[in-house]
This record gives sequence, structure tokens and C-alpha cells, in this order.
Amino acid sequence: MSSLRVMEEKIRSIIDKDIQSSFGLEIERREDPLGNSIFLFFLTRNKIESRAVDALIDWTNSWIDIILNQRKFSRFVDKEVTSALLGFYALKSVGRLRIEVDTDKLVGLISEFVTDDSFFDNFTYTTLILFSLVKQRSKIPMFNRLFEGIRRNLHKEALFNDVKNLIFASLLLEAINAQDDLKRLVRACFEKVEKNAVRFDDRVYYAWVLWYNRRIMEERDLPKIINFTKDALENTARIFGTEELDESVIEMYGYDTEPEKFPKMLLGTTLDLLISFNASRIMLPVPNIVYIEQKLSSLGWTEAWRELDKALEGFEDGRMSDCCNNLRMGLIIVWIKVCEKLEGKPIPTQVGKTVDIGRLNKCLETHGLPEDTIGMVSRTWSYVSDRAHIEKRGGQAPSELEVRYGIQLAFATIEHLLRLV
Amino acid sequence: MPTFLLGNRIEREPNLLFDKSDSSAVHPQVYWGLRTYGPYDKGISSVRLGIISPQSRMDQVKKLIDELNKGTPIMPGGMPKFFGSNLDVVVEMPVNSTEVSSYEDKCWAFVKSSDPSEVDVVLVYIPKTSRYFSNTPYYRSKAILASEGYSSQMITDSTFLNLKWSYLNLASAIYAKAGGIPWVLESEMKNVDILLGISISNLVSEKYRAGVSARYVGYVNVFDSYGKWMFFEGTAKSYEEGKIFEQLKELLSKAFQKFEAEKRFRPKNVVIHYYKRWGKEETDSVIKILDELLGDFNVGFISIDDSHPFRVYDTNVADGSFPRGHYAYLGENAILMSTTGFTTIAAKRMGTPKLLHVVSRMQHPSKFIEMEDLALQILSLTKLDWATATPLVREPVTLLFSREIAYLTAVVSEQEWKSIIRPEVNAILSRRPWFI
Amino acid sequence: MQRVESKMFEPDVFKVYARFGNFFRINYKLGKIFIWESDPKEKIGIGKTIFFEGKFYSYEGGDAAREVTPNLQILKSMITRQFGLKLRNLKYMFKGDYRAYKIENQVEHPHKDIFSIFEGFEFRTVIVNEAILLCVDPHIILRANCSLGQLTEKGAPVDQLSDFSVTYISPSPEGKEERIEGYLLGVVRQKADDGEIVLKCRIKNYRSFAEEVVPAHRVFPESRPELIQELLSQIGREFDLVGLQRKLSFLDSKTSSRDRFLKTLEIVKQLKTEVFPLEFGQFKVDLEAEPVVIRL
Repeated sequence: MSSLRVMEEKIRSIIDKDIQSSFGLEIERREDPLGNSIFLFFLTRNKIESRAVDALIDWTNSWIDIILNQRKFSRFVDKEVTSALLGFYALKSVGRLRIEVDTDKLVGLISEFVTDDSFFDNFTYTTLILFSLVKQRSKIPMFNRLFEGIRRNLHKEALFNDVKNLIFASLLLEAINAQDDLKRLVRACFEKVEKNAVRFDDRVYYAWVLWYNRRIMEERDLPKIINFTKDALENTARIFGTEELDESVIEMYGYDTEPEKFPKMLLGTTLDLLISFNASRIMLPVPNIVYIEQKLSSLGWTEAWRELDKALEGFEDGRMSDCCNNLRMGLIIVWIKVCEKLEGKPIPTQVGKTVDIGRLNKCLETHGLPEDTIGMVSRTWSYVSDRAHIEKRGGQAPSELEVRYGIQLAFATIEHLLRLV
Repeated sequence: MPTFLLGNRIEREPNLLFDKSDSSAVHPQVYWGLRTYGPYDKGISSVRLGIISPQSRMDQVKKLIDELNKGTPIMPGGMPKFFGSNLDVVVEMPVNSTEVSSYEDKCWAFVKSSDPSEVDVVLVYIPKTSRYFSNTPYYRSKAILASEGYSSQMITDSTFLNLKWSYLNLASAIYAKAGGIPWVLESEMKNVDILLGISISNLVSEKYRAGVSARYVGYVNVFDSYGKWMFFEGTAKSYEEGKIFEQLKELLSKAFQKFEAEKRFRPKNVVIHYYKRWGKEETDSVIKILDELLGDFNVGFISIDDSHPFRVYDTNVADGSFPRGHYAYLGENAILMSTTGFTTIAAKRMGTPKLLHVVSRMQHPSKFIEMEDLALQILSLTKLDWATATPLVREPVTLLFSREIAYLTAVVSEQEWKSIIRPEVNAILSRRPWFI
Repeated sequence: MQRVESKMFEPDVFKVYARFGNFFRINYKLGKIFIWESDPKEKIGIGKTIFFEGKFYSYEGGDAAREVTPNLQILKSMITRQFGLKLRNLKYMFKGDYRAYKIENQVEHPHKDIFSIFEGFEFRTVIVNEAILLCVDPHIILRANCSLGQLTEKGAPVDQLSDFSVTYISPSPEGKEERIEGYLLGVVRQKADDGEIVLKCRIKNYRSFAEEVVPAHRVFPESRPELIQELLSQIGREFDLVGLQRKLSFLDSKTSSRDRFLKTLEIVKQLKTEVFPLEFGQFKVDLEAEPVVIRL
């Protein structure tokens, strides 16, 4: 799971670098103002603070003034206006808007760009603009008409073909409280997931829509949504990592001269989803999880980590006895390996049989652990093992309260053991 | 004391744009751009294919389509990843033999039983023949299908022998012929509103023509300021020799009318690329016609020629080639430009670069594009051939497309040309680069 | 392809500069140029005149001539003409106006009865920055030696001979023979006056678009490697002519530009000793062996 946290850090770093690389010349900002606004939207939404974000906020404030107030457009008025409006929304949402924007003048401005029930004859820009101005909709006469234009296109294949549209379309529907339309959109995404009809590169966008709107889905759909989201996020390692390339690709097409470039929408969406998804995990009381994962990784004890990860997953999914079983397995693997490391030789085990706990206790005793500490370790082992064996409890799964406690005990014990090596 | 010629270089490889709305979706390389961002135009989710093939090859063709859909090591993710769409076979027609007459019969049977609004591209498996032979399955199939409104993509045994290299080129050509826009330039070409690749006085096929005197047709490919191919127009009829003004008038009228309808503005800066010799009559005719059609305008006549023995070398480069994007001045308005010399964007190059001799023959009423901007324009346009994802293409797309049509006009009959240009077919074909 | 060592003729320019064009400066001592009212070849002989922008110019004067100050275009044109004539005098053969080769530069291969392949060069003269430059580029010249009639005697199926460009020899209105280009529609057997069956080619003349019937022994295929290779295979001889041409054109070399450049210098060195100085009238023309330098 915390490979996802690692990915979150990685993407934050990519975004930071991207923002910082476009500091300097004004012209560079103007080349991709929409990308900047998209970054700003996702970063401020997650209350991320840094010097890069501050610089982006400063730039966006002046950009809003240049475009919305002074109307200093270039030929790329479509992306300039859209980016200024999205930036306006993002800054207003977090109280960082320093520029006065007259709403009447704004309405006058945007009405110049209406063509055939859309802004700039572009679905993406229309969705973004309507979303950005949703709080001012009562003052915008053409708002509803343009929204109807969006609604008419919601179920067309073109929407799903350009998946980034899914994000802001769903945000817009939610902001307007168009629950029926939102539900239809989310269900359509879910059906594609069920049919395995989602392309690999599009999965993060679908996952975003499903994750953020999971509460409007049926309860039985939740495990699928969670799994799909987790899978999609784990697979971003392939998108944002270094791929193994077929030699023929290099021979034919040359090296990628810009290997660190990714679509900004993808970066923003992935980061946003990672933060939300990871945060849902951190609701569990395991503050030492980062230390444990890193230590196990450095020791190469990946099997142990897998068990602990599965335990937490089981807890999230409501599978309490599975959780305890995985905790039990994770704990015993760590305990055995710590003793092997302390003694410098393998601990004998018999196939199909649990290792002799007494032997492990003896090892800890030999290496100076106090008796009561050893007792705590054993008792923790017993605690989670009992709760894993539901057949001994008349088939009754342990309660969430018991398992929470078990997780805290197991992780604390594992940390203590790891600190011995 | 050596004799010196001045030269210059384009510092940065022009970028391509791979998304209509996301301006960060840029990359200088076609392959990596498509792989990272997908196509510029993401509106096509399915390309409906018809197949015409010898029965013995039909399975091979379908396997190719399957691989294009599922992906290969060269093209991971396949059509869905690179072009946001799937290839769906809607019609299959086996051919009895590889004789020309068999292909002609089958193509006619195809067009009679299908509707061009229901088939995007026809994939035709043909025996490989030289393009210097005209009565071949290649040209006959192309002509018949085009005359009834179908874009076609030919594949041969060579395609399968070199499949690794063919995948992406095939995929790109099919996508473009279905009306998709794979990529465009990131930045507008400076001081260009409309770019025209015009060719007039092309002889239509002798063999299939009745009558004695030669007949000529003309055509124009229209590109916008981002190098995006907009449409093709041809003269609706053939002309006698020497009817230059009439051909140009018909072509330019159609071109500007259609441009204005789509872009909603009247172009002011017009740049014309040509490779065949243009004389005073041609340039005077164009100016007169533009006066009538546009009123206020600037027009630049740019000839681009590679049928010369001029070379430039750079001994600092390992293979001695003059690097891509470098050029030498042969005069105030003429340069020799390298588009296939050493570069970091491609690994595989062959031979000595054949340089483009670019001459700004005339700018009327006064100069509005500098030679440096023209050089960048030409280099940028070498990246817009949608028929290939090869990193290095020597010629600008304006000329490439003109040449492709030139080969075709030489082998289609006057009757077939008229069929291709008639309104109901033109409505479909003019928006698809069916000739690539 | 063996690389030629350029050390023997390595001017300093290669030590100082890195970018070169295949242009070589032509220096000349200016002589007199005369303008004639009409073509003076009857009076002064052939090869001494150029026809430029509707007028005749020569380096020789006469009664109906007057001296003029030539512009660079006229000088270039005159020099180019004399250069071409000198090449012909030195037994260079020509393909078109600008591609020259010598018989002794023929490439060895086993099908000389069908075609010949020569290592020659292509040239142009250009005016750049008020200087006249000679451009030289190595060029492979292909020549078809076998007529369509001969090809059929060697086994080429008659019904497969169609749909490609040909050249044929035809008597001109002035009674001379001229080479004409056309498109082969097909080969047919016809009965001659003496009852013998002869092969005739139906050809569409590219210039007049008239269909002509020409005896097959006077018709030659266009000298394209793909076409000649195809015809070879029709007579049962498999030969990779396209590959040979590629090799001779440096296409398969990893240092193709460098190889071509060195070959260019070699050709220019030969021209400098063989052809130059060019002397005609009071003109003396020489060629610099150093290529022009490109300064970025």
C-alpha cells in the first residue's frame, strides 16, 4: 500500500519540478496556462503548500487580471480564458484570490465566446468554464443553456474517448447537484470497468470518477471500486516509472528526448486520487507503518510486508478474520527472521506446522529482552491467532473493535522486533 | 582564401501537439508523443474497416488487425493507446486471384454492395508492384474505390516482411484516412493564415482516355497555420493544355470558400508551396485571382526542389552529414536546407541528405515572411505526414501530398477523376487524405 | 566502398573549417564577349555561341557582331557551355545535359549485354554572392544496352512487356535520328512486307501524345534500376541491381556523407587537372580545388 505513498511523493515531485521549470520567462507560462491552472486546482484542493505552489498562486492572480480584467488575449483566447477562469475558481475556493473580478464584465466577456451552445465549440473548455463559474451561475444568463449542451453529450462515446472530460464533467454535475446525471455517468463508468473495457492508460480517470462518487453506488459495488482504484493507482508506476523498452523502438524511433513529460491532467488527477485514497488508509491507527515498510524493504523481507498489507486491505474491506490471519502471518514471519538474524542461523520449521513459539521466545531471552516484553510479543501472537481461527469461535468473525486493537498490537510488536536488528 | 557561404540553424526541433484542449500534450517526436498522449483528435473510438484480400491472405490480414488492436512490443497498447480507437472489421471480400482484373471486379463489387458512410477505410492486400507501372492492383483499386468515396490503405507482402516497422505507419495512415487528426504543430507558423500545396496541369491517364488531345487536372491541398491538413480540392473537370488561369481560379475559389466556412475568417497571409516550375503566367494568375477573392492579402510563392546535385557536409558530425535544421544561403531568398541530416530525434538514417532547395520566388505586394521563418516552416512541415510515424521525413507535407496525388492522376482516367471530384464523393473524400 | 585518403590534396581549409558545400569557385580572366544579330555558327563555327534571353553571344567577333560587357549570367552560361564541350572533347559521355561519365569508369558486373553502370558525376553552375561556382556531385549513371527486341530474343515474354517508360530512336524531320521518350502500351507481332513476323512496340509519345508503332529493336527500356532488374528476372537472370546502385550511391555506408564528400573532392581534383584551365577566346578559366566553406 505505501508503494502508493511513494508514488504520491513521486508525483508531487514531478509536479513541483514542472512548475519550477516554467518559472522565469513569462512566455513559457503563456504557452501552457491551462496546464498551470489544472495543477493549481488539484494542488489547492488538497491544501498542498510549497514555494512552487506560492509562485503558481502569484502567477495565477496576475494571469486572471491580464485575461479577465485587461482582456489581453493572444490568438489562443480559448485556453487563456478557460485557464483564467479555472484559476479564478481554484483561488477563490481557498481564499487566495487577490484580484477583483467584476462578475458583470465577466459575463460580458464569456458571452462573446459562445458558439452553438458551447464555449469555443469545445466540450472540454465548456465543462471547465461552467464548473469554474458554478457559484456565479445565477448571474450568467446562458449558463443553463450551455449546461444542457453538456448534458446532451454526456452519454456519447466521444466523452469516454477523451477521458479527461470525465473528471470535470463529474465535478460539474456534482457542483450543480445534478444527481441523476451524475449517477448515470458514474454507472456508465462502472459498467465499462465491469466489462473490462477500460484502456490501461485511462484507468486512473475512471478510478477517480468511481472513487469520488462511490457513495452513490450500491454497497455491493464498493469492493470492485476499491480494488479497481487500488489497481489503477498501483499501475501508475508503469506510467510514471522507467519502462523497459524494446530495442527495436530505439532503433526505429530514437530515444525519447523528453522522458519526464506527462499530461498535466493525468498528473493532477493521479495525485488527487492518490492523496484521497491514501488518506482513507491512514484513518487506521498505524502511525509506524512507514518505518515498518521501509525497514522490511531494506531487509528484503517483502513476504512479511505483503501479509501486513493484505491485513490492512482486509480491514478496509471488512474482512476481519482475514485481517487477523494476515497479521498473524506477518508477525510470525518477522519474528522468525529477527531471530534468525540475531542467531545467525536458520530457525528450523516443519512443513505444515507453526514454528515452535517457545524456541522464538528463547531466542529473544538469549538476546536480552526482558521477560515481560517477551510476554507481550507472545500474547500479541496469541491475540491475533485466536481471532484468525473463527472455527474456534463458533464461526463468529472478530469485531472491528477487536481487530483495530489487534492491528495496533501487531504493528507495535513488529516495530519493536525490527528495532532489534 | 576560401569562398564563404552563410548558413544558419534552427535551434529547437519544432514541437507537435497531441491534444485539442491540453496544451501540455506536446512532444517533438511523433512516436513518443502518440505513445504518451494519444492523438490530437480523440473523437474517433472506432474505425470501420472493409477488407479486400486474396482468401489465402485473409487470416493474415485479420491477425494484423488484431495485433494492431491489442498492441505489440513496438506499439504497446496498440490502436487504443496510440490513436484512442479500435479497428472493427465490417466487411470482408475475398479476391479470386492477384490479377488486376480480379481486383477491379472485386472493388466494383465492393462499392456496389457497401455504403461509404458505413465503412471508414478499405484495407486492400495487393501484390507488390513498382509505382512506375500504372496498370496494377494498387492504382486500379485506389482509383475505383476513391471514385466511389472510399479511402483505401494498401498492404503487400513487404508489409508483413517488415511488420515491426509497418505497424505504426499503418495505424497512423488508417486513422488519418478515417478522418482522424493524429497530430498537428504546437505553434502556429509565423505570418501564415493558409498554406496551399498546389499542382496544376497534371496529365490524366492516357490509356483510359478517349480522344486525342491531352487533358489536365489540378488540385490543391489546404493546410492551416498549424500545418493541419484541412482538405483536398481538385478541378471538377479536366482542361486543355495552357488553361492555367482557369484551373487556378477554380481551385483557389473552392479553397478559400471552404477555408472561410470552417475557420470563420478570411485569410490574409497566403503561402503557396510548389515543386513544379511556375512561371510568370502562374504567379500573375494567382495574384489576379486573390485580388478578386480576398481584396487585402499577402501572398508568398515558395518553390521547393530536390532535383539538384547540391550538397553540404559537416565534418564535425560522425557520418559527415549536414545536421537537420541547418541551412546554407544561396542568395537572399534561397537556401539549401537539411531535413534528414544528423539529429537527436532519430537513430536510423541512411545515405547523404538530399537537401531541399527552397526559394522564395516572390512575395506580393511586399515581403511578409523572412527566410528564417520559411526555413522553420519547411522543417515543421516535414513532421506532418500522417502516413508515417518515421521520425525523419525529408519533404514538407505540402509537397509530399502533392506528389502522391500526382502519381495517382497519372494513372486514373478522366472519368475516374470526375467521379472522385463529384460533389457527393467530394463531400466524403475531401476531408480524408485518401491519396496517401 | 574504399575510402579515399584525402591527405594528398588536403588544403588547410580542412584543418580550419568543418562545414563545406560541394561548390567550387570558378576564377576567370575576363575576355571579350560579342553580341550577334543572328546565329553566327555559319560564320564562326559551332560551339562558340550561347543563346541567352533571346540573343546570341560569342567569345568571337565578326562583321555582324559588336562587343558588349557581359553580365554574370552570360559569363556563367558561356563558361558552362565551354566546360561541357571540353568534357565531350575529353571523351566524357553525357546523360542529359548535366550528367557526365567516362567509359573507363564502368562498374564490372555480369550482365553488360543488358545494361551498363558508370560512376560519373552531375554538375551545375550557380551564381552566389557575385561568384560563379561549379557544383559537382558523384552520380551513378545507368544505361540500357538491350532493346526490347533483343530482350524477347533472350526470353522475355512478349505479353509482359508493357506499362513502363521507354526511349526509342526515331528519325526526326531534319533526317537525323533522335531519342524520344514514351510510354510502352504493349508489344505486338506484325507481318512485315517480306512475310517475316517482326515485333513492334505500341508507344504513346510523351510529347505529342500520338500513338506510334516502332520496331522493337529500336526501343529501349527506361534506365531505372527497378525496371531493369524486373526485366532481368523476366529473362531468368536474378540480379540485385537496386542493391548495387544503393551501394555505389553510398547508401549502405555508415559514413555516407563523408564518403560522398571525399569522392567529390577526388572528381574535382581530376577535373582540375584534366579540364581546366579552360581557354576560349581571350578567356582563361580555372577551378579552385577547395570547396566553399559554410559559416553558421
